[in-house]
Amino acid sequence: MTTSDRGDWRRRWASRPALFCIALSAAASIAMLPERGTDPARHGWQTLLSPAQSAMRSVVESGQDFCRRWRTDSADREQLANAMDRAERLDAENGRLRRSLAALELTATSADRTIEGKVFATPLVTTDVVSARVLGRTAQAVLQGRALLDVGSRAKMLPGAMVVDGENFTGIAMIDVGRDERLEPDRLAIAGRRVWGKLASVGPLTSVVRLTTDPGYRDLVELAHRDGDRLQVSARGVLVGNGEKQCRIEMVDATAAVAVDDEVYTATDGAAPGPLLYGRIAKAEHIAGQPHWRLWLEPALGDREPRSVAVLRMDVNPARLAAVDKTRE
Amino acid sequence: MMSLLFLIIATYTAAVLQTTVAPLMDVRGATPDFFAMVAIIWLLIGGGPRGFVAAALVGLAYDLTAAGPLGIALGVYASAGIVLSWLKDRLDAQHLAIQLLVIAIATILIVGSEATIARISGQTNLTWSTLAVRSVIVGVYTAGVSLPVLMVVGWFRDARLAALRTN
Repeated sequence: MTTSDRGDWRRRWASRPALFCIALSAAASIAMLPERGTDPARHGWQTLLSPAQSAMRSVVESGQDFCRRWRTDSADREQLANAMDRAERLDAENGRLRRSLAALELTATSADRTIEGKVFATPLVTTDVVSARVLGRTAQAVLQGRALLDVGSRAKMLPGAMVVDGENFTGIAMIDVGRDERLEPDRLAIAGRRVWGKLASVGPLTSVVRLTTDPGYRDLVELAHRDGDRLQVSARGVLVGNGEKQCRIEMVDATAAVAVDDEVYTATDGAAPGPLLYGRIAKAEHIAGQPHWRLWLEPALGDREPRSVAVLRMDVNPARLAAVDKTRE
Repeated sequence: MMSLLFLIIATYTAAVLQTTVAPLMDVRGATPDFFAMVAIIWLLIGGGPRGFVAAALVGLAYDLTAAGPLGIALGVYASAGIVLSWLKDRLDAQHLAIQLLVIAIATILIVGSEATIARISGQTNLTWSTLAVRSVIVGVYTAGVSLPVLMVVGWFRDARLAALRTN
């Protein structure tokens, strides 16, 4: 074989169709090999890949871990931002509520000055409260022993000592403030905005309270129907104590809309700081032809004797008097 | 010699990526085919008239990596390689869009051929339509993944040409 023949042979075998045929033949031959014959090659290739695969897997896992952490961090950041946003909104809301409260307080303090949109002068009669302890039997006995309290007679008592009716002495309601705190008869004694009674008589250091259920108790009242949060005054009447557990309410016009459970308050008279609760209507009767309802009231305080009460004390507003004096000058 | 070493490294990297990263890139059961990507880019960029032989070797690496019988990918890659070698002489293979199109179509054909052989030989019982859709997704996906590789290769080629012109 010459050099030229050898070159032809190489070109023929190295030509594209020849190489392609060789590749296809190799593919077909390998495909026909039994699995046992190909397993060593596959295993060797896998062994060769194994270190790089392990390295790549750890890189991928690190990447995934980083992504997870980043996502968690973003979620935390988002939560923090939301919380801060919420806190900001709550602060703003608190500020708004504080302003509303201040406005309401202002309205409340000037309520006596403003009726139906009209602005009135500073009230002429001011009301404040005096706290007082309710005296029980033992305390009353001590006072009696010190001749500060005389029961049934004026004999041997100290000047200015208080005289109470001996027949009704037991169960008498008495408080430990009197003229020393500038109290006067007929002032209301209340416990938590609920009326307990009125001062029947005022001594130098003590006062006797006539309870709402006591005989002779009378007061002008307003009946109100509660509709959700709103109170709607329906009628006026006179509350009368008669010694029973329930008081009577008289002089309520038969045409007034009255129902059991309606609330009964002190009538607004321009001096009291606001309506005070007497109790609820326990029973209501309307007899045909009668001009008034027959109503019974369950006192708000019931039979309970409070341990301490507040007595409303009224006086002429010194600021108004001072203004008058100034005008005269 | 240098380019052969580069091909071996690229094939090895493709095998590693195919077995570790590709499963994480699953889209409707399809993953990019890194072997096809390496073989086709090799044929388009550096493969000479006998570049299909290198493609056949990449196919063999695929056969060794995959679970199916050996030899199928070798034949398929060799066939695709000879078609691409013939096409390369008639196309402007330097244009990025054409390169992407060729990669997508060639990958669809390679994956489609493998799927057809697997279906005929009873290695899979997926429907023809599923296999067709999956082949198309793999082709498009592989073309997408090839984009940054083609861009980097293009930058290197341009830099090399510029250096040659300067000299």
